[in-house]
Amino acid sequence: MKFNSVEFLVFFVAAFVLLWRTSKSLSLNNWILLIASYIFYGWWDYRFLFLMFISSLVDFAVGYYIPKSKHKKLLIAASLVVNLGLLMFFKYFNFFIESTQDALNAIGFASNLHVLQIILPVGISFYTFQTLSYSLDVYKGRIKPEHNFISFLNYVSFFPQLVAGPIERASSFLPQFRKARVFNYSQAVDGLRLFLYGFFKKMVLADNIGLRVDAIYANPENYSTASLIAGCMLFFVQLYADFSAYTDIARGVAKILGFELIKNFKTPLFSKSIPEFWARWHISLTTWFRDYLFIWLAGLNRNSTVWRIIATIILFLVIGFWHGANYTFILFGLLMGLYFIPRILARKNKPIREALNFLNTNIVASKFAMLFTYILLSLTGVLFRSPNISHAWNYYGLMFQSNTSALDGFTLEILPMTVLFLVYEWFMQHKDHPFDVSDFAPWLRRTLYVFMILAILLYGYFGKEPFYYFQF
Amino acid sequence: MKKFVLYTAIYVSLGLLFVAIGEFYLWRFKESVSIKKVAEIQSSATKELYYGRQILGNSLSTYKYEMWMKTQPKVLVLGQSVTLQFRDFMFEPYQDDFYNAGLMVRNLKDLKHVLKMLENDKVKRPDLILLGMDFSFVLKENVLDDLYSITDLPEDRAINVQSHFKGYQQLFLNGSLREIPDLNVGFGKAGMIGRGYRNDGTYRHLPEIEQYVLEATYQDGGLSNKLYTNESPFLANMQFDDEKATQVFEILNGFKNLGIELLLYVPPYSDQFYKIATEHTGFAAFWPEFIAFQEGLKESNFDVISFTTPSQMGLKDDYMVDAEHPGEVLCAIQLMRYVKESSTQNKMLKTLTFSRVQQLLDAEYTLPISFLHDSVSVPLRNKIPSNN
Repeated sequence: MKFNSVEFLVFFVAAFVLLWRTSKSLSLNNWILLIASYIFYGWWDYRFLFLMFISSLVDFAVGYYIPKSKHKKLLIAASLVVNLGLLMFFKYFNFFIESTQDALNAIGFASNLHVLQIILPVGISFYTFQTLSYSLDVYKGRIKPEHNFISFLNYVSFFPQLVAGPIERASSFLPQFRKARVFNYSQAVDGLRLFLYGFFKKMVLADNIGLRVDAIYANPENYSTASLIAGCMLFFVQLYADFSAYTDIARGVAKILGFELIKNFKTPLFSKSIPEFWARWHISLTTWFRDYLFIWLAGLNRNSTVWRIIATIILFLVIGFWHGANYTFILFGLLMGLYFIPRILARKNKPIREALNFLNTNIVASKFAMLFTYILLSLTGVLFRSPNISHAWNYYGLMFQSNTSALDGFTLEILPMTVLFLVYEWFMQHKDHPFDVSDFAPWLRRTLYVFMILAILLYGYFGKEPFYYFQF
Repeated sequence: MKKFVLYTAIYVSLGLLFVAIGEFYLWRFKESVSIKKVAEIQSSATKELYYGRQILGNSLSTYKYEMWMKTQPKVLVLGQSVTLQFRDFMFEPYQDDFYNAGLMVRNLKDLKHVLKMLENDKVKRPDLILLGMDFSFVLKENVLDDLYSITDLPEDRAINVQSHFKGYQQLFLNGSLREIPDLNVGFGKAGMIGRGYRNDGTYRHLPEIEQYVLEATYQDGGLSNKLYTNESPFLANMQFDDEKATQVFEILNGFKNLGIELLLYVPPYSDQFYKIATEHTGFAAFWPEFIAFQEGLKESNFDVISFTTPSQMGLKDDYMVDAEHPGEVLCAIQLMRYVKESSTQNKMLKTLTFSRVQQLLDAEYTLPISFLHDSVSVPLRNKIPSNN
């Protein structure tokens, strides 16, 4: 079920009424929530409910037995094998087959390996990581195992964040299923604001920008250099508006139902460096990889700068690959890793450290750093957006041709809206979230609500465009 | 909780008001009448009705398919938009057992599907099929090959929530769309004023006819521009597809084997356009092969109304709605001449009387572009300038 669908609105109203009607009985409430989550996921394809259940069951059992077992490593290995195995099979199997075939062909072995017709289950990259983190935390002794299976199933399948995160941690999220939920007006209103702002970003901004970007990327040879540059620059705004919209709606829905989800974005487009960008973008994923991969990896040779660079590159290669089975994501990740080198060198090099510090703190230089970071991100983003390397290469080639004719009309039309959005987010960047208008005068707040609703109704894209991160 | 629900309800009501106003207009313009309902009414109507949704969109293949299912006629017209002017009265005495399903079949895949349906008796076999045989069927790179078609019918937009919301947006942002039309002769904003698909499946080109009545000049309709800019289908490397041509023969023989008589119609171009087209690299290379294909069809004993231009028939470009779409008068003349002048063995064709066509051709109000025969066209007769 998609958030931007009538089915979801009906489903959510029903879930809201049922869950608050039964809020006094925690057990019943958790059962209803679980059923709702499974309906939400099964609406897309009920066959994959089984996968999610298996993944949950394995980690519940692993978590349950780890404290008592003498074979802790064996148990955690089982969790890793099942979760990563599911992910590898559904997401990467064909990629590995095709890559092997290409490699064999390249060295002169004629091979005819068969790829399989595999459907990628929506949200598998998210819920496998969430359930895996639970087992790893229990293994490390960071949390105690959950003994209530229903609570655990809810932790894995909680419908607002099931399909595209944020990837929650058991330490902060599981306890929320153990205590009775009490309706909190301020929390619910804040949730509704996030809900509204999410829909605004998705339907008015992301989808309308997406239509333009999609058209440009589909036939780049038909566009002027100016339009290609605009397409490249607009893509990350689209991606941010789209993905953060999903998170906002997820957080909003959760708040309305009495839950709190972690923040996944901190206005990342205003970052002054790539490392800062990754600290503000898809936070739940980057912290996941930091905690469960990078700390271990970097710790293998703590004092070596070269090793830290290698570990960072490995980290971003994995992050890139997490996004999809495609060389474009691997290259994207590799470049992102390389962009970290100045910061790693700065740890032991004073002039570099001072230079970076100057870029971060000087009022003028920091703005240039911000602009430079955005341009770098957008240029690298061509890889993220392109279906394959040759397409990206072609796009770069066309973008740097001398054809400088004017922007096409449609791109010109969406530019003011995009700029306005960025200006708004700039002024709101220090708030808890960009639509935290709780301290605004009531008349202004209400005007903003009406403006948002009208903008969605009049300019929103009603074409059932899926959220961009669903494909990951 | 109550306060939260109340405040939320106030804002939700804003959305509901928007929906209510939008729905009112869609209802007022009969845009939201489902295709099933439209087909039910149009297929049994005794008075003229038009189907033309200007706001929600026509979901055309679905509409035509539904109408075909309802009518299951003896005389069926298939093909692209170039066939849409073959009207029921041109096939007298079968005018009540006729349906023009033009634009239902968009490519070879569709045509094969129709053949399969007839072979499997999923629908009553017509006695005669007039098939518009334009070059898109044998063009190598054909954008129509990727279109939604009867093998994958698009959802009726009248019953699609997203389409309704898109419709509200158009209605709110475009004031002229909200104007209530003077006429009420059909379904949809365009259909209400008589611009759309008639009960027999043919299309009434309202603005083109109105303009012709006032100015009596031929309009190219932008096709020449497509040539100049090498826009599809007029690519610089237009290529004839032998494999597709073979498939066409197979399908046509399939129809024949079912005992269905065929009349193939290779549509004309306006003289003005054809002259420019022959100078276009891609077209000039492609066209002789297409004409050879047409001759091949004739040699295989298919009834073919050959490619022509108005001047080759002793007429002017005024008989075309635009560069590629023949008007109804031209279609009637082509059909009548073919039946009368050819030595066709087609039994159905031999029984066509053309008495109504002849009557209309003799009428003083008949214009090259239109017979002005529909009741909604009658007022236009008085607007014809005396020198026209």
